[in-house]
Amino acid sequence: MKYCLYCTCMGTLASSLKEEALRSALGPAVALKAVDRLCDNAACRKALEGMAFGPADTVVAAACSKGSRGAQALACLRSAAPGVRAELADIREACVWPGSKDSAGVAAQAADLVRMGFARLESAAPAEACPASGKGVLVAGAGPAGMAAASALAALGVPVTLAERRTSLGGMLNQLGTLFPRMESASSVKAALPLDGADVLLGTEVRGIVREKGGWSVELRSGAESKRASFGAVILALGGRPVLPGGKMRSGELKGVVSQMELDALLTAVEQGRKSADLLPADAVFVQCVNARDEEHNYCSALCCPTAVKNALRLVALKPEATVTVLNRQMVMPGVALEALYRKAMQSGVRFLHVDDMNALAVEGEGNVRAVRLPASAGAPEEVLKADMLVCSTPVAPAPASVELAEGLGLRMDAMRFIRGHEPAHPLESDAEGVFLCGSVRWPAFVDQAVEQGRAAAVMAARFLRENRMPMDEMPEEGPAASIRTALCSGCGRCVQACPHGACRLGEDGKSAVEAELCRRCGACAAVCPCKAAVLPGVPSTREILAALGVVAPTKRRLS
Amino acid sequence: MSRPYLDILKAHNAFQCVECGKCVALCPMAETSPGFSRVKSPRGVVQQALRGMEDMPGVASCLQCRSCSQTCPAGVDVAGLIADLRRVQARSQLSVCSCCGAPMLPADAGRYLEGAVNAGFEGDLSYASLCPACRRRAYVRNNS
Amino acid sequence: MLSALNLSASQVDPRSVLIVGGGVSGMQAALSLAALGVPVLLVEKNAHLGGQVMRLDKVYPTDHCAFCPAWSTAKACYESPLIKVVLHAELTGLSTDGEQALAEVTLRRPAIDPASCLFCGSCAEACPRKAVLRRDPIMTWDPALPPAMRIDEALCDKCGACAKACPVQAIDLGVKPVTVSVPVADVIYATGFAEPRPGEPEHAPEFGSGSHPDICTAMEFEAWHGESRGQDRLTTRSDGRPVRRVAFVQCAGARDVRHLPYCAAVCCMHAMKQARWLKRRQPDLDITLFYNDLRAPGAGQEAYVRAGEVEGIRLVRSRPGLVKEAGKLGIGLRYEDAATGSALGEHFDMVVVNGGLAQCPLPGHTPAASAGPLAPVTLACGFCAEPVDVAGAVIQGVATAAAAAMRRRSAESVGGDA
Repeated sequence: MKYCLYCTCMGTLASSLKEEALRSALGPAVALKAVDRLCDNAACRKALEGMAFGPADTVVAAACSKGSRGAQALACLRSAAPGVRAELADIREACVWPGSKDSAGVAAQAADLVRMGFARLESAAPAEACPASGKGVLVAGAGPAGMAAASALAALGVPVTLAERRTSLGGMLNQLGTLFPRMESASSVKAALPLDGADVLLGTEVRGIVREKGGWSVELRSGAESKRASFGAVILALGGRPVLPGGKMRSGELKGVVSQMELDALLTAVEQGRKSADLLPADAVFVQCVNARDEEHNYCSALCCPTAVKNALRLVALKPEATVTVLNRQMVMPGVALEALYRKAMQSGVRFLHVDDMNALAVEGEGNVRAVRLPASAGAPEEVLKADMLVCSTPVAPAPASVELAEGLGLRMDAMRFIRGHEPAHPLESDAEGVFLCGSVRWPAFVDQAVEQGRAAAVMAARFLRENRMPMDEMPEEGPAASIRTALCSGCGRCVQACPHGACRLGEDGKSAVEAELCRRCGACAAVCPCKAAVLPGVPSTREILAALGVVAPTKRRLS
Repeated sequence: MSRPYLDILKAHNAFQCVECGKCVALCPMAETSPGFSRVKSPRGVVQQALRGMEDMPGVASCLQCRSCSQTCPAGVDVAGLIADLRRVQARSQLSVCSCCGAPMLPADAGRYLEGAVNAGFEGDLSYASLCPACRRRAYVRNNS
Repeated sequence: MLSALNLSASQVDPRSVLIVGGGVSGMQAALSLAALGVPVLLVEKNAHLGGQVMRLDKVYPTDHCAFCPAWSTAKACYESPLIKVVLHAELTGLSTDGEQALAEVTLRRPAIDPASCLFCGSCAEACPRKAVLRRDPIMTWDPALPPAMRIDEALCDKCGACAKACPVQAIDLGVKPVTVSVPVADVIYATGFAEPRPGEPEHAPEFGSGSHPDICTAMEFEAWHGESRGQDRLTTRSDGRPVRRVAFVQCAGARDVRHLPYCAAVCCMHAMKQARWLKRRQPDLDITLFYNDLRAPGAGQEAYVRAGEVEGIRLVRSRPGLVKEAGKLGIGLRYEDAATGSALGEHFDMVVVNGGLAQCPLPGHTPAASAGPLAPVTLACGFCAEPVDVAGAVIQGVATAAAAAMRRRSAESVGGDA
């Protein structure tokens, strides 16, 4: 049975489009009912009083446009009559309001629009449900990001396996003593990430990750042994590696030219009483952006400036008579906490000198570094800085293991080989379904950021397990997956090539089939199929559109 | 590295300078000399003082209009810094009052007068003998 | 969706987490909690979800549309059965009895009730002052909500013609705010930031903000640029003459002890985004960006800045001392020039002043008084906690939701069922 609910918009349309005129224009095949309004739950229910719809019935709401209140009307209709097959025909903005026709013309056009709605409904294919996965999460890498992810998943009751190739947990947390911006100890952060309930595999490398039905199959290698395990989602937390000064600033040649990490370790050893404060420099010069923000590493790691400021503060705390000068192209200390740390360092007497080109610095010394010579600049004369230690701040690059896994998964990486998320609204979601990123695999992250990202990735993975959908696939309309009508399929494979999600596969019978749980409803298969075998219900297909047009323009036009 | 003016630098927050250049942009003396930024500008003085340099030409040419201090986003009181540097510099080149110690005359003038008095000069020295600070008749004394 | 316009205690599960602020960070926190089975009460003071992102045309570093992802996220919030969204609502008080928090939410309904409005336009036709609009002056209309007519408060003189014309009596010009007390479990603040209005910050008048239409804030510029899409060439806001030179001034009022001492973290990249748009739209424009430290710390951001330089955007490391209108010459700007070592004056047709973005306050926030495991905690995420960009706000929103959910789970396992 065909029903049409003519919404008079609280009577404002009734004078231009009379109910009787529309009824006679539609003819006896359609049961018409005029109602006051549909876009409000109570009013909609009142409008449907005494009406019941069966699975073979179709309803067209003759109301306003979808972008106006029409979407709301449809939503109220679907809520008042669950499961109803309903469509919208815009007879307000598209028909009555333009108002250039006589009343008979208005009624005729409105009836056409309603009939088009019925035609669309009739040519649509039926819906299909989408199953969710029931497996757990693999976290690859147990640095601060991985530990935070595994800790969160365990606390939320989600089954999680944490695999770490080293024989101890912690990653960078084991190499750093004090952390910025709050100057807390790395060990306290580690202690705040308990892993009770997580399956922790130390000395285990994550090797090939391969898609399988219902999730991911991962090879876990421990020594000579190797086994495969199945997971519903994967979190990549393999971290980064520091880039070395590589001979810049005469490192390797002169004693006393060290990296920021080496100074960090020395400061930690002195703070913990394992080494003497005599080993600390009397005049330290920090050089920022060594091997960074240049042709080869065209990015700012953003954690080198805060690390330098942190270590400068630690140094003057341990040795108040020391002079510390930080040579920088700019100090990247964004936000409240870091800017405050920067000012604190300045107040403690640390000098921050701007240098345009680090390559113009001349490092002087024989055997041991002795001084750094700065060329004159706009605001300052030439200067020679006495230095018995020169500390190079270098960038962080992606870990080789991360690059390898990303290549295996076909994930996009940027020019520096960081794995790309979908910036900026979905930064931790990779191109692969159910694979999330956190920490320095995605971009150099300091500990606070790594922990946040780990927790966030954990929640996203938990959601994915439940909903079988990446957060970025939050589509405005939910719809059924694409499907292939086997009888029409010629096995040409174009849909397999076109599908960006790997959901279309050619089966052994030579016909294509869609794996519903991988389908992202993009419609690419339906667009390229030459046999019209692939369809995406819920989105008007060419067939539906032609059917609707056929109602008002009987001569069909072939679309190539 | 020695910093003879460390107290003054700290008192006026000189270490906070981020070299943004606002003080230079607003300084009325900006067009008076080439290489103004580096040499005589408020920023130049701060950087020279931080390096412990003795020769700071900007200290003498400052008009004390205080535009720089008002505009500094880092809270550096540049004008105050320059005023204090001026006093310190001047003090080493002036003779002081024997009663209150305030600067009175350039040192060489003071030396000349002292020599004249010791040699029995009997002319009118009232112009040189009334200290402007403590208003007492005083003899000049070289600042040693 | 329309239930977003009213609130009563009976509609809210007392185990809900109250999220104050429905911007990017708040929405992500809400969706994450809902996905973990935790009910949420999401309170937003504007007429729409999405926060500041809804006022942007594009976001960096991808130059993608800003509000599309925000829109689909907003829709998901409205549709989630575990999230109760309330619009036009502010948190005006928060107290705790040790186990439960009691939130006082004040609803400031607009004069035209969005739940009843038919969007038919009768009120707009009847209004003698053209004060009734189909959309906000700044495009902050939430496409996930059914649209409603709006009254521009600045133009309305409360004559009541609209109320008489409305066929559903949806207009009440004397509508008063209503305060509702709602018990909740924990609170997450996601109130974001407030951009300085023209004329602010008062402590930094040397940047000329508010003194002339051609000296504008970043958001004004975003709106002006978006609206001028149809034009061939850009024209000034003041007299419509062609724009040839544009300046962006960073750190105006930020990193300033007289106003906001901290760095707002996003303005450098935001200005770069606007500068590159301008340049790509009209390559013959002369664009200069004056900065102190150009901060491009996030993924792909430094490359974005370098690309801008290659496109011809001039980057000058100097904070201008003075920005002032100069009659026929346009807007004068005085800065320290590194090449000559002196102060230089230049003139521009438009100057965008990037002032400090103030972190919004956390209303009713007091440190947790009770130490019990079931005591409500307050957390904060997004810009109001620490200046971040969109990616950072998304991450923080989800991470903070995780922290709240983890805490709740462990509290419940300690205290039995709560």
